[in-house]
Amino acid sequence: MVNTSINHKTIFLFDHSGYFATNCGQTFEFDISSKSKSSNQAQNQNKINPLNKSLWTCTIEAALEFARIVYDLFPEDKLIRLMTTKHENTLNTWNESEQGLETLLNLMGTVQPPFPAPAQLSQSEELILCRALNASLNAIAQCTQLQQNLIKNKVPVKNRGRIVFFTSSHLRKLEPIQEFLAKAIEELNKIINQAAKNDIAIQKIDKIELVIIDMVPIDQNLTLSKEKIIQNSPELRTHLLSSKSGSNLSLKLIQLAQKFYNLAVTSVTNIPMKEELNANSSANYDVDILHHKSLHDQLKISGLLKNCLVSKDGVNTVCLKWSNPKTNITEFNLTTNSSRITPIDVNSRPSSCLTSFLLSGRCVVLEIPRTTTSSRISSHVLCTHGNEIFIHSLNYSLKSVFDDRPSIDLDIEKLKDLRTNEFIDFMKTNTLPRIITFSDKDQFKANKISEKFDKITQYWPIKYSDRIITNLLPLKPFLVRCMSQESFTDAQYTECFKCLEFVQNAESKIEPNNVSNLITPVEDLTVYKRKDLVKTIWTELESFLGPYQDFSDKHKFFYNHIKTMRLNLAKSESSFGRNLDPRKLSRQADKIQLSNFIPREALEFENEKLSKRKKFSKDVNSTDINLYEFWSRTLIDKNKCKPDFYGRLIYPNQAAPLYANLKLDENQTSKSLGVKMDI
Amino acid sequence: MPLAIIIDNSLSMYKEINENGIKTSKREIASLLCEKLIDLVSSRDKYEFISLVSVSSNAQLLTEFTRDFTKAKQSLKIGKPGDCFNLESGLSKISEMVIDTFGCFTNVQILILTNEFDNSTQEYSIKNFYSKLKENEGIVKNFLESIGFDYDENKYFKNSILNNDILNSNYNFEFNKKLSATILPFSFPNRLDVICLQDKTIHAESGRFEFDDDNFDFRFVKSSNQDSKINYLNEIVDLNGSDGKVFCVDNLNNKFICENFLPEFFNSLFDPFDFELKCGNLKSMINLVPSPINKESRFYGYLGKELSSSIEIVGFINIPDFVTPQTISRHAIVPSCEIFQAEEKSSFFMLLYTSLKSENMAAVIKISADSYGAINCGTDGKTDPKKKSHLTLAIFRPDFSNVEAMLSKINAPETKITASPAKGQVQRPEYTKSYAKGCIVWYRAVNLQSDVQKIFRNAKKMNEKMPIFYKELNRVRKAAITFGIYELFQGLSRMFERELVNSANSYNAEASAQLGHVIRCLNLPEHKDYRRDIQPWTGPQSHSKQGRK
Repeated sequence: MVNTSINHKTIFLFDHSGYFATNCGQTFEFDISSKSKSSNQAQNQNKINPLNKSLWTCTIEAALEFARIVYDLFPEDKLIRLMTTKHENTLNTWNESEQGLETLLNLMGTVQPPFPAPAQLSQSEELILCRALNASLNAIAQCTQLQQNLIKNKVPVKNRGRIVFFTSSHLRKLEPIQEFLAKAIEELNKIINQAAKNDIAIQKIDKIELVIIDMVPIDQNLTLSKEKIIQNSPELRTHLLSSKSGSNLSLKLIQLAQKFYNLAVTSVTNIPMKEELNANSSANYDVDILHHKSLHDQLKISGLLKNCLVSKDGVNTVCLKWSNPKTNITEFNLTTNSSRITPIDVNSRPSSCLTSFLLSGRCVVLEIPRTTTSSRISSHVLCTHGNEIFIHSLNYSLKSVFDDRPSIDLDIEKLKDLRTNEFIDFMKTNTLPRIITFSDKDQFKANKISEKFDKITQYWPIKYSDRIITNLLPLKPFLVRCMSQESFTDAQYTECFKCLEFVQNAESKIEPNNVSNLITPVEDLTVYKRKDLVKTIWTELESFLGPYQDFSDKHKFFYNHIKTMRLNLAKSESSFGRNLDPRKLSRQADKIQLSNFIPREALEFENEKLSKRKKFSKDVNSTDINLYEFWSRTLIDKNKCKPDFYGRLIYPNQAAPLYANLKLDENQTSKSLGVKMDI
Repeated sequence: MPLAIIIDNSLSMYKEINENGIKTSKREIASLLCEKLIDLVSSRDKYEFISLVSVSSNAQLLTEFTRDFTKAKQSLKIGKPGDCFNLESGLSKISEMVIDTFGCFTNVQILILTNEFDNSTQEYSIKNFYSKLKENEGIVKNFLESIGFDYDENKYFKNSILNNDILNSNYNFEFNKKLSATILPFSFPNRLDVICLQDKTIHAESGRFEFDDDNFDFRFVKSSNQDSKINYLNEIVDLNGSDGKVFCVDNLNNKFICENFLPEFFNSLFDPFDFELKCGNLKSMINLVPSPINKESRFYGYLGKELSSSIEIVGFINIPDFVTPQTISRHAIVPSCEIFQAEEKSSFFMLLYTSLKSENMAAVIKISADSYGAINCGTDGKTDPKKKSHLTLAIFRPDFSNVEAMLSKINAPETKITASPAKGQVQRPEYTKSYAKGCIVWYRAVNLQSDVQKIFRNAKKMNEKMPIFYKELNRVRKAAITFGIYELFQGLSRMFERELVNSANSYNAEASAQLGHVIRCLNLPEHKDYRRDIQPWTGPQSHSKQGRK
């Protein structure tokens, strides 16, 4: 069953009461002179005092850092809304257009920080909080685009979400907040059940996780030593946790992001980097990156995790060694899992060195740190796909069922006969793009692709020697081009005509198919020497193009053209048969060759006057042009790349009735008219 | 698929039995079964791997996974009898061996040969093992619920991953029970079957398990009702969550076992399933090695899905572009044995092989209604290009978001009439990753310093770097407003003042004027508005109008 998880919707609620203007107790040095020229006495006297950050600043920094991680790793479907107790509504919506770190930064830029006020809350401020909590419940009740799509597709949706509330137990009692919220959910669900049951944009709330972060200035003790989980009501569960402010809060939020989104930390260790000041020496650095937890599954299963696990500030980190960078991911075959990454300390120098190295297109193999006995195991690889950095896990095992199994035998001769190039063309025209951000998953239909493939491969001999037309080199481009659903460009159109010209010339030469024209030499050439070869070719071409005729107007045009050619050929043959003594036939043919086609053309000219194909029945090798050729060439130029009148192709030798379908079927009129009008 | 056999080597197996006048023991029958089975397996596929583990009080490895079938048969005699059958140690030995040998993407057949449903009187009884497993299930269920997951019984969970997660989790559970080390469900794709050489009389205990919510514990509740007997082995196979069943043999006649039971058993388990590999109208019959399913059932237990009989190609992808979804198992593709001779039909297979190989591409496949995989040409994830290559098929974990995400844009989506056209498909604004564009993160003072340093570095080269100087300045200004650090404005202006005093020589008149302008602006309240960028100073006359970006 498809469903959205609880981390689909997150709301950050910032307490905007005066208490949050309080200094967090940690100072932040920003005067650069103290760093670069510390020896200078005069400057030290002029030194500017370090910054004092307020509790408010700490919460904003932490929440935005959390958002940065989420947006880096999940380009969609993990949505965040911001809200302060001062505002009556959330600052943004669930709409994808109002998501993204940039958006959130801009939003917070419009919010004034709280002003210092006495620690005691007035009555009105309690009310303000209730209003804010109600607003955040409303926000959870609102369905996101994804949820709406699921509902539309009759997928049962559990409406869940998370509210992260930054406040302080110094300021407020936390129990009443939970009680209020539990009741409010009940009330809201009642209202939704009554009033908005069929509204696709609002759903009753199934589950809310309220995460209350009790902030403590840096010099005070935590109010809770451990996270406390309270199930307040069937719909509400509260996670109470206490965190020191300052930079600790951001670290805490990074940890929470790991929990909420199933992330894990990998430390890429021993990255050699040149020093800025000392270009000759290189020092080793470590970079911590965040990614989906499942990338460590293989290490856990194989029991190798214990070789890599290090605890950094209470966070379990898997250390993997940087090994020689490779230039190409293709050397790794298919990996077993992958995830986007983001560095934890994104702006640090080692991090940006690593990310810019990867973004430049190179990839890095990570190794499991070796114990004395173990051999070298490459477990992961970092690489970039379209400006996003990914980590892949590699399969490593001692043995494989593939070992020593005979590989697929390659009989070179047989291989040559396979229409590999054509298949590669087919693969390339049906290549999937790299992973893509998409807003509407239910649009995907694998069935559609199958249908398309069914259609394209309706006439698809595997070997060149299977059919005559597939084995004729000059026809190759025509066949390949017609297999694609895309419409023809002018150049392709001309090329295809040239291919058909070959067949038409073949007709006149009677025996044109010498071995050099064949892709796969066949022992038994008789089939290629038969007199009715040309007829066979036209028939094969017709059955080839039949399934593809609906792809575009030009496909249709070629199909009709070929069909006409075949019909005419059959007709002219039968007229030959009637008028000529069979014994004379061969002599006649010789004559035709000797006399440079004119008799044959004259014959056909009588038969079908202005038949389309005449335009192409010219000898490309001949330099002198007779009158007929001159005329037909002019016609070609005139009609270049324009399909012939549809009616003429169907009724070659008579007047084509217009709007033939009009009387037959009223309903289809518009459709069939449309087709004709196009031509 | 690789076959791992556990043979019960406890004393009860050695008990002499009299079958139609011939004196024998269950252990001998078990050995015979193994030998015949090895013969059958090797005759079907000489590249199969077989391993043997003998289990009594301790597990003893008889043969590691090998293709040396004679050696495997000989090793049957090595096992020493012990007092009781410790299933847990046997399974953990197998699990360890499979993971060490094949990793976690190879489907392995595990077969237990025993004579007991439940040796309940003994310390390592099957019943005790079962209740331990049940208890773990309860803990896992509660763990998942507490972190906001819905426990889905049908969803497979790789066991050791969960163990690890629970052990490493920082949650403070009120559990009075800790997760004990468990082997089931296995962490690799598998099929678990049991052949139980029964006595005529079965003494299964009657009762059922109930979950005790207060203690997160399963309690055995005895029942007087004779019908609700528990077959613990059956329950254990069920708990593994993959495919498999318990075969009971109560006729211990050699002839019956070799001629009736074994061939039937073998065929039901090992008969390969023929898949139709298709790409539109191009088709080939193929087998997968190891096969995820057999002829009897199309249910791939580890995936929890019924596989369709055709493997359908739904697209191709360049391997360097392939962001692989989580893989469940890998298989080699071989042309189906039966149709191998009919060369015509296997040609598509060859065509696909050569094309994928030469272009370094993979084919994305659909293997059931909602699970996908990929076919590529390679050597099972290893990187040696000289090695012989095969067509490899990887089956992905069915996940709504990965494969379908990849495929979603093949066809331009049809324009649907939506209920609310105003809320059309709005995409998230083009978002560059934070690591690609240098975003502002100031919770560490050192990052703040480097941003400030950047401003002053550009200030020193004001003549050529003026636009960058103002860009950086406004970036910091905006961030300060976002984070609500107004103190920074004053601090910066004081730093500029000091800079003008201390290093006056490094600034020319123009640059000094710009810095003076910046100092003024930083102290003006209007630039504490997020939208009001500080514009470069353009001389005394046209201050307001000409601004650069």
